[in-house]
Amino acid sequence: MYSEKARELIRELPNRGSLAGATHTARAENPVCGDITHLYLKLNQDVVVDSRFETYGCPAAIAASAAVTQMCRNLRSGECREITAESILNYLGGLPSHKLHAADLAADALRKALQSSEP
Amino acid sequence: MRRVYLDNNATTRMDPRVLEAMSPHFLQDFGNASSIHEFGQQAREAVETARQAVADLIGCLPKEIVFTSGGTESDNTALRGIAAGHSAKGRHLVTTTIEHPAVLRTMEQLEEEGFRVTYLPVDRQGLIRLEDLHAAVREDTILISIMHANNETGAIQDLRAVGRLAREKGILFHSDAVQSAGKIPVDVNDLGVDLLSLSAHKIHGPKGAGALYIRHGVEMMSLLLGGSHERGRRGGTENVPGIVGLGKAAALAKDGLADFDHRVRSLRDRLETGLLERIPQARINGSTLRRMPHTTNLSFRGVEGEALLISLDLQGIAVSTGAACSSGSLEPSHVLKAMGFQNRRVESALRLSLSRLTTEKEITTALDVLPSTVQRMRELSPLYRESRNRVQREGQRAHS
Repeated sequence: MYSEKARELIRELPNRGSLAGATHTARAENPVCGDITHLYLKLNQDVVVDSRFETYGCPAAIAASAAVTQMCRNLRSGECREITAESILNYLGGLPSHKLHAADLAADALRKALQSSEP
Repeated sequence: MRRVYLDNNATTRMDPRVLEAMSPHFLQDFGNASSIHEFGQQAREAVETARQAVADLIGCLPKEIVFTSGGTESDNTALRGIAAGHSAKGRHLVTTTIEHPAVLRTMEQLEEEGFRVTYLPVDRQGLIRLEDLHAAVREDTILISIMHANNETGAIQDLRAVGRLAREKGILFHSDAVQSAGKIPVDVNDLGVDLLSLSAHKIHGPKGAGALYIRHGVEMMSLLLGGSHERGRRGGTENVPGIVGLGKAAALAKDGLADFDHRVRSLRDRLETGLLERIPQARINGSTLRRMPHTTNLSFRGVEGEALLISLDLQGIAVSTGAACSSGSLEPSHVLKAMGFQNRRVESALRLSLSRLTTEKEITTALDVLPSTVQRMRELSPLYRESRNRVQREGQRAHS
């Protein structure tokens, strides 16, 4: 049902929790299924030096959020903006067909976080 | 990796004695039970022995048992068979909002065909109110179908009272007893049911085998045509190994009823009490007074049930959120919704169901793993953090 990569992320929950000293944060919510993701980024000279997440939601939402925190590390903000729901799905090796919207939620959180600054 | 199976309302592990009873009927005694030669007659004898065992389990006559492919077919046959056979008398049926989809989908289809269906609500305990049933029955009501024990909460309906009312009003009464038959005493005469569905794989028997009890004298249409099998009530060559397996499972279940009530209940209580002690803001969903001895349904605030399920699965512990049949869909449990719980509580529900093969060690492992997993998921949950902060703020306000 879930790819090996998604299962690994759900098992390990890398980069979980809030981030003291975050420079960019965002809260994204899927109004249909009720999943909520908080994304915390710390940028130094336009490079993501740290990233964390908190998610309430299904395993797909958790895996996608964790994936985003890994994908954006050490990237410039412009490069982060190129991360899309599709690239998150590719990173995860896919999600169950009825869970694809979880990647949208994670991409939305990243987009909003990059638009924000200094929480 | 350790493996703990706490999803026995979905299905159970087959009892090795059931497999042993079935085995000869694949390669050796493979006859068609309708054939008159020796091979066939051996198969017929095995089928009739099984029929007696199932009849003994629920206190009926062997001729009142019709073998089916399982609970879903039994439910479909009961509902459609009565609707088709009694439509001249009336076209109204009564059921509940918490039935298994095998009943609910069939009722919906009957509605499309012009029947009227009343769906009884349930209270926060997951139980129907008899006054609602009294109000629902009409002159043209031909069938009441109310499940015995719910698959998600284990709540047990008062079928005796329903049976009395049905008898008074001259209405046929069906019950889906898939989750109760073989686990608690089920006597069709005591309960006053006219039709009752049961399944083999919920009581350590094989998948693909079940039975429908039809009280002697109740007329109904057969769903499957094509032969005079099962006294003309279910066409199709009998699944002899499956039926033998069901018979053996029924006999073993009957012998083990007292043990189930004592040992399995004690394991379930140990698990439930332990979880409630170790996990703050955990709540039981449904009645604890009228409940199956092997089921508990708990909500853990701030944790999404499916995420918890997968997280536990990755540690070798199998549980369920809502009904197993619906777990591929995005819809939250229709049972917990019908009980009046808000979405967040429904989403955070986990069903843990035991069997007579569940061990003390499995319960110990579950008690070790579940609290830390819930804690870990809560550390990740902004919803739990927000709710905790809100409680703290309210506490501070109350003190100031």
